Amino acid sequence: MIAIAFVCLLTLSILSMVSGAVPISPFGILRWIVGFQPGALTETERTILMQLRLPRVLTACLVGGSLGIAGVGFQGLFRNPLADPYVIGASSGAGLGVTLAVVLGLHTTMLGLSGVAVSAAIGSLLAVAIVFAIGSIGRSSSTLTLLLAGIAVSSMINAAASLLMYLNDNSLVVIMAWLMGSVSTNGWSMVMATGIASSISFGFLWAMSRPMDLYLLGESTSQSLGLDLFRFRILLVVGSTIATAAAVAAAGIIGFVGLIAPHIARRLIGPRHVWLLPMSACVGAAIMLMADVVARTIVAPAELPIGILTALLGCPFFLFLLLSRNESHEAT
Amino acid sequence: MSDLAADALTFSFSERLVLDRVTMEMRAGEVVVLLGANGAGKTTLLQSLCRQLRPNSGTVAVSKRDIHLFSRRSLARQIAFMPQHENRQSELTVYDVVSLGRTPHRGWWAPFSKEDVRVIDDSLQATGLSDMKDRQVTQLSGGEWRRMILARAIAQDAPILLLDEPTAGLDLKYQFDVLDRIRRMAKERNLVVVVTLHDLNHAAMFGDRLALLAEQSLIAIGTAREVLTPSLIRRAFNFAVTIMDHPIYGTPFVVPMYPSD
Repeated sequence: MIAIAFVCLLTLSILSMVSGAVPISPFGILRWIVGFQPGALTETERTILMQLRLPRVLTACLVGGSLGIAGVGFQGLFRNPLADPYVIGASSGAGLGVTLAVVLGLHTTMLGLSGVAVSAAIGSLLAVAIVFAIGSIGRSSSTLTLLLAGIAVSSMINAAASLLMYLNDNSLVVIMAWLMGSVSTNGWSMVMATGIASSISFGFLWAMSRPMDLYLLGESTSQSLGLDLFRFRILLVVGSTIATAAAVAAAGIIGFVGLIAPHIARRLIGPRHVWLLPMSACVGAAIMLMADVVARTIVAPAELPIGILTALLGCPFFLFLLLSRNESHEAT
Repeated sequence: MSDLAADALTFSFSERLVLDRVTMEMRAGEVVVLLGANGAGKTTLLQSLCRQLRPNSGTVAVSKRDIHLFSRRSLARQIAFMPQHENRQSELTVYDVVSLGRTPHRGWWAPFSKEDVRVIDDSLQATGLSDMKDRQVTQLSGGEWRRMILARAIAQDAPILLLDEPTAGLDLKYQFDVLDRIRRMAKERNLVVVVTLHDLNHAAMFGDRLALLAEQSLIAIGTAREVLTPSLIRRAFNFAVTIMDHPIYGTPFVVPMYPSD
């Protein structure tokens, strides 16, 4: 099943590379990549692919995949299907990070990454760290405390970001454009950085597949079967947050992907995390690829922010899943 | 071979005292049945014995070592606990859940060994679940679900087994199958088994020793003949009974006097 998903993803990637202002033959791309035939494409086509479309496709895949696994992580942590990668403050932290970077004119680049992207990632990580620190006071934290701390801290950070935007309304357009999400301006350095962060978090979470299965049985049962809850929660939050921060830094705040990818993956392959994590990564990547193709073709030559599209298309699909699931439950 | 001991265990929920300086020892190879009225503290005692709850004072020790000195994983290799309630919403299969009982022995990544597979299959067989091992947990009846979590506790293969109402919701055949299985396991593998039951006659038939909880403490512990007396039962349950001899097994047989006054 994972292999089928991977082939579908590969096909989608090629379709995504084909579509655009300059049409490129999919067979040419296949011959170029699989058959190592540089002559299959013209010089211009190769430049467009290497400089624009391939980094874009890879970024979309990495961002979608990261959100897919982060969604599984947070839904597992809260044992709640409504949790998404932003549930404990990653998006508000990123929002404040971006706002600060734009307002302070942080235009420098670090290791080829834009200051705004780095600031978004740092904002995400810091916000989650603060939420986790508050939620874990006394080591007796329940996931409910963590959730409530997330809501409180997110509100406060959002308020601070809003205040900054209000006081600097000339920067509003830049900030909003960034927050609405895009995979269009990323070069190879961002692909590399996102790839490294996504791989680390995927490895991290995948290594915890069995404890995550165990945790499905509830806190006290998993504890009586040998799980150190405090350590498990820290590792799960760290792994999921690295994935979220990587996605936010690369593409802004993309709604719904991290929520629906795990649901679709669960329907396709079941609840065991050893399969669910890679499947959710594939589904998340596929959703991002499709959304990106629509985003850059529907109003061409202009482009829609991808975050708007994922929410717009994801919501009805999610509702469809929800209703069909209820029907099947009623039938049993 | 392990033994389990509680020493002056005191536990309260906020202001409400549930257990007051409970002291008892449980030896390898014996089945101890915890008895008491609703709210007497049976589950609280069981959860304190396996570190699910932290007592206000007193200690619990496995082979004379305080259970709070064990890591979670090493404690799980010593004590298996079957809870009364648990999250039933996961879409895991019966086999998945029972195989999770092997977690303390396998770590996070080690694949199933032949021994793991054998223990899991035996546990499923012992609880009559082999035919429904691929069924989703959400599709089980209450009784089947209890058998599944008992199978998981058996698969944990620990020398101490704490079972909170393992027969609740089971039909007659499985009540006796389960209790018989537990008793045989205790004897054959030299396990400490502590089990809460509501049926006093089951307790008399399957328990080596019975422990009666009332008035926040242990009011009696001993053989069925010593504990199942009309006066102790009235004190614990506020209910009149008469005690006869079981016509076949010769164990004390509790007959409720109704109306009880």
